[in-house]
Amino acid sequence: MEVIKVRSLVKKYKELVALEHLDLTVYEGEILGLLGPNGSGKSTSINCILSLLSYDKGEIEVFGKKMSPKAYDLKKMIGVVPQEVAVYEELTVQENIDFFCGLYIKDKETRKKYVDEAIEFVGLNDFRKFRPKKLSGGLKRRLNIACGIAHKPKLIFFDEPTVAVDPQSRNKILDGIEQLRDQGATIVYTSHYIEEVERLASRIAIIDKGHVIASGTADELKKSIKKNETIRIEVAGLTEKNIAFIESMGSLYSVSYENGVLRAEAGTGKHVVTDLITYLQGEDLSIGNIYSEQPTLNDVFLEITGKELRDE
Amino acid sequence: MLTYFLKMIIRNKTALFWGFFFPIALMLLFKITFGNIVSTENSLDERNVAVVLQGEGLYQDNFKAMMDEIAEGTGTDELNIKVEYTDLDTATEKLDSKKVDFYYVVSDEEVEVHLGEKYGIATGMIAREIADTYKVNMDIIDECMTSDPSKMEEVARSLQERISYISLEDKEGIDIYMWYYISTLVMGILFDYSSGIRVLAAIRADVSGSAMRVAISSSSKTKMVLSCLLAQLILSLSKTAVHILFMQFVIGIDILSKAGLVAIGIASATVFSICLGILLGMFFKGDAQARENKSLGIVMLSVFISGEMIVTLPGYIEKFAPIVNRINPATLFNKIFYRILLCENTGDLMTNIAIITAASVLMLVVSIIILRRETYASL
Repeated sequence: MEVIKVRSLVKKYKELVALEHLDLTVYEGEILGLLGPNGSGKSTSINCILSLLSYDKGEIEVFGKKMSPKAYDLKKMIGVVPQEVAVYEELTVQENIDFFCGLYIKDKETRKKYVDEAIEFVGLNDFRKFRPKKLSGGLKRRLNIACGIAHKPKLIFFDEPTVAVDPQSRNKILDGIEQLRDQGATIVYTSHYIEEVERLASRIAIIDKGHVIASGTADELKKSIKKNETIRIEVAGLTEKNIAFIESMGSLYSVSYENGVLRAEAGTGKHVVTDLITYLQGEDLSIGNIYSEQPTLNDVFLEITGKELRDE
Repeated sequence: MLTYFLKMIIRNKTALFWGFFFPIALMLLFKITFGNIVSTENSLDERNVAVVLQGEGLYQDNFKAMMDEIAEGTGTDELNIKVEYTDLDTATEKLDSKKVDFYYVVSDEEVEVHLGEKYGIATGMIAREIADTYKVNMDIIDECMTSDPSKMEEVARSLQERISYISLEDKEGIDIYMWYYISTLVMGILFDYSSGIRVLAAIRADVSGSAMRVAISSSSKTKMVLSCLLAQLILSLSKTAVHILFMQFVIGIDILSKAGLVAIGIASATVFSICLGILLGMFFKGDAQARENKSLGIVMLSVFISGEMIVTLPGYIEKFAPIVNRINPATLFNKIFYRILLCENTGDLMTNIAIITAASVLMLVVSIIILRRETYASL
C-alpha cells in the first residue's frame, strides 16, 4: 500500500525552484531513506507533504487521501522528529512529551500510558523531571524523538535525528527507529550520514535540484553506477610504462599510483584483480597487501550528485 | 494545554524579571528617591518664592511678568506658587527662616536659583524647571532678535502657547511624581509585548520548531491560539494586579478607589500590548529571541518618549510633533491612567478608553487570524 504518493510537485520561492516535478512514493512498513545535498529539496518536500508549506503544483496523497492543512484525520497518523531539538525549555521531559502527545490524544488515561511508553522507549526514565537544558545533546535528541512519536503515529518523518550525538546515543536512536519499523510504522528518514541510511533504509531516494534523481534499494543503487570495485595494491617500483599498461586493461577506468600504492577503479564487466596480480608478478614487482572494495552508498551519492560543494 | 502554557510563562525567568520585578524595583527606586512625596510633598502644594531683581532691563521685566503669570495661575505651567519681590538680604533671611521655599536672583542675563538647606526633591525640581524654562525661552527670543526681528511676535506667541502636555488640558495641574509611577505601571503592562512574542513562538511554525510541531498536529489551531492567549492574559493581568497592590499599599497611591475604571484600562492596555507583541514579532525576522529583542527597542522607545525618564518630554513632543503623543501607546495609556487617578473632570476619558479597547479588540482579531494559519509560503 502506498502511504505517501507525491506526483509532479512544484514549489517555488520567488525565482528559485525548490521542487521541480518531484515524484515520490513511500510504501507501508518501509523505511525510505531520503538523501540529497544541502538545498536539494529534502526538507521542502517533507514540509509540503505535511501541508506546512504551500506549493505551486502537484498532488500529495497520504494514506490514499488528499493531504491538506485541514486533513486532521491524516495528521493524527503522522509524527515528525525535526532536525532541531524542538521542545519547550520551560517544561520538563515528561511535560514536554505530554504536551506534544496532547496535541493528538485528548484522553488523559491513554495519554499517560503513551507518555510513559515513549519515555521508556527512548530511555529517559531517570530524567522525567529534568528540564531540557539539563540534558546532554544525546538525551535532548532522544527527547525530541519521544515528542514526535509518543502519540503512536503510523507514518513518521525523521529529519536528521542524529546530528551532533555520540556513537552510543546514535546507536540507541537507530535501534529505536528499527523497533518502530518492526512495530509497523512507515518511516521517512533523512540524514547526511549515509551509513545510517544504508543501515536503516529498505529503499533510498536521492533528491537533487528539486527532484528524485535515483531510487531503489542500496544494492540496486550501487549497481546503477559506473564504479563496481576499487582495487588497491601495495607495490614498489611501478613505472609509467607499467601504469600505461594497467590503464589499457579491460574495465579499469581510473588508475593512479601514489606512495607505493596502486589504486584502480573498475567498472562493471570482467573482474581484473587476478589479471592485475599476474601482470605485476610477471614484471617481477614486489607486491604487499591487496584490497578490493565494493562501491559504497557514499560513492553512489557522490557519483550521482557530483562532488562540487553546494553551500557556496 | 492552558496549564502548560501557564507553566511556560511562570518558569520564564527573563520575562518574569522585566515584566514583574523590574517595574516594582523602579517604583521602589522612585519611592526611595522622592521619599514620601506622594503623601507629604505634593508638587501641587503651594510654595512661597522670593524674587530679587538686580538692575532693570528686559531680562528682569520678562522674568517678573512670567512669575506673575504663574502666581496668578494664568501661565501655561500649572504651578501653585506665591511670589514676593524683595532684596537679596531679605530673601536670604526668609529662606533661612523657611518663610520662602526658594528664591531667584535675576540679573541682566542670569537667573540664579537659591534653595534652602533641606529642600524637597519636588521643590528643587520646580525651582529649576522655572529658571531653565525661562532661560531657554529668552535664548530663543535673543536669537530671533539677532537673526530675524520680524518674526519676534510669532516666536513670542509660540512660546506663550507652549503647552505642557501633562497639564492634560483641564487645568488641574500635574503631579509629576504620579506621572513617574503611572509611567512605570504602563511600562510593566507594555512589557507584555513579550507575551505576544511568546504566543507567536508557541504557535507560528515559521518562528520556532516547537510551534512547527503544533502547526502540523491534528489539534484545532483556533483552540490552541485561544489557550495560549488566555494563559498570557491571565498571567499578565495577575502581574499587573500585584503592581497595583504595590502602588496602593507600599507606594501609597490611592488606586483602588477607582478600581472599576482602572481594571478596564488595564485589561484593554494588556490585550493591546500582547497583540502589539504579536504584530511586531510578525514584522521582524529571526528566531523568537531576535524578534523579542527588536520589539523591545520599539517598546522602550515608546516608554521613553512617554516621559518615563524625562517627565517633560511629552510636553516638548506636544509642541513640535503632537501626532507622536496621539499614536504612542505608552503616552496614551499614561494619560488614561493619570486621568482616572487624579482628575475629577475625566473629560474624554471614556472615549479614549473606548478607542483603546476597540483598537485592542481589532488587534486581537488580526492576531488570531495571523496565528491560526496552518500553511506557510516559506519557513
